[in-house]
Amino acid sequence: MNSDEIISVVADIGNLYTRAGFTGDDFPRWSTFTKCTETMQFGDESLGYGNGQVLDILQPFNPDLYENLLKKMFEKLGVQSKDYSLLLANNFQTKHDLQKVVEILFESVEIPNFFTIRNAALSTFSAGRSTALILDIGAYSTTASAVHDGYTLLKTQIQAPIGGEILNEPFRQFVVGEYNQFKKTCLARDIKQGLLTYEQIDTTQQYELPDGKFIQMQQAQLSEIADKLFNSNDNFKGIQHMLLDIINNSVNDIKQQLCSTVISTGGSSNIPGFLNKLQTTLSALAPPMCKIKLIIYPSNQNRYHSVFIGGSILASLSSFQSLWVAKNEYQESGKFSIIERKCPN
Amino acid sequence: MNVGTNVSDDCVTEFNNLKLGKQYRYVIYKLDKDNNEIVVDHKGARDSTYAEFVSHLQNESRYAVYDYHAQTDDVPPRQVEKLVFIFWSPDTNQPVKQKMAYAAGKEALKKKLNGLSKEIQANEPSEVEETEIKKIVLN
Repeated sequence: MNSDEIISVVADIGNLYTRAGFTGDDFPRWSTFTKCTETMQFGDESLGYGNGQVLDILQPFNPDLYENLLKKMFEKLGVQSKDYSLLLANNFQTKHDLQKVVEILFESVEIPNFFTIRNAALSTFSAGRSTALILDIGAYSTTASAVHDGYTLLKTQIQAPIGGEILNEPFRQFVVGEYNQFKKTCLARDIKQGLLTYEQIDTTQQYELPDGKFIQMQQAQLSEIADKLFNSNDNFKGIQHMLLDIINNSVNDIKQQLCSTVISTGGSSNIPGFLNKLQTTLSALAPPMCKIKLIIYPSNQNRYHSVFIGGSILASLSSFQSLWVAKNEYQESGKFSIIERKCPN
Repeated sequence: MNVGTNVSDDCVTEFNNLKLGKQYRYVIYKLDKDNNEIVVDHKGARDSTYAEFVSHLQNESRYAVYDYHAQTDDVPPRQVEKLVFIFWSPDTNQPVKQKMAYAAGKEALKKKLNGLSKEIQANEPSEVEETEIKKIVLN
């Protein structure tokens, strides 16, 4: 990194995890839960111990807690917010929430420059593409989006209330001990990450608990849990159908491109055998003339951090520097309208 | 989404020389050293072969415009001529930042080139074989 490059802060504040760091880095320097204690403490140490309530910062969106998270972020990154531009991944449900955050950033946190762009677009860029069909399996919800030339096509975007966290539940039974709810969920999540697989295993899977005991699970049990992402029920069609719906609802011109550039991101994409299963399931259901091709990120870390990495690179491009929305532009333009104009979506 | 990548005037001039002046069969573009401006990399003579064109698409991303002529299978066969925009983005070896700079810069270039009929995004050699481009042109 040469000294002419201006460093900015990049943040991906998700419903469960927050990742923040600097442009040019391929890894977020600060990773934490998007939650805090009643006394505004962040991090799993504080959240996992004690009997106080654990507060969600998103879901629903809590502006006061969000503001605290932003300030804590700059503190943890070791920089003054008024000296650093911020690229924030846009995963806001409503314009109103985004508007509120921009106001907090310019007026309270006092950043000099701002930009926002949809998570799906950043995941697309981080795979070296500008057009793709993105499946983002988050913690509490899954979002499927078509991105075309860097624009996320919101009209065909589909969201479902199923995500990685729902797969923790069957593993809770193995968590014994005096822990608060948050800590129990963390432990169940660890066990899930150690055991869950789509692959046909010959022997039973084993996981060693902190106390030395072993948990064993049969292939059949694990398949049943893992298949929740593909099975349909009352309020969920299965991730394969979310993607197919977008393909079928897209104009012919981009159908081919979307089919040949399917990208799965989010931690659950790392479950062993998941990508193979997604490829075979989709290929079997795809319309004729549409060959499904899954684009694989170079490493598992990319699936957790694709949004951050995309932001880190995008905001480091010298050609990008003219796109920042400056504080004075924001103040002089009647505030939110400049964001809508300069940040496509 | 246009991230503001510069496009040198040369890029448009040579494109017009291809499109209107019929001086070239193809023009290949690349990003300059700082990944900030798109410039002309190669120009192929009017009688170049497709194989010669593909030989320039190696380990680094490139943009290209190819003036492709094809014949339909009708009787009698129809001549079809289309300007195809090709985005070459190989997955091997390139640093992610460079790959992304090309992905992000594509729109800036396309905006300046009027008259493109078709677009191909190719990430490996099989996707840029002549059969592929012929299929796109004849569809």
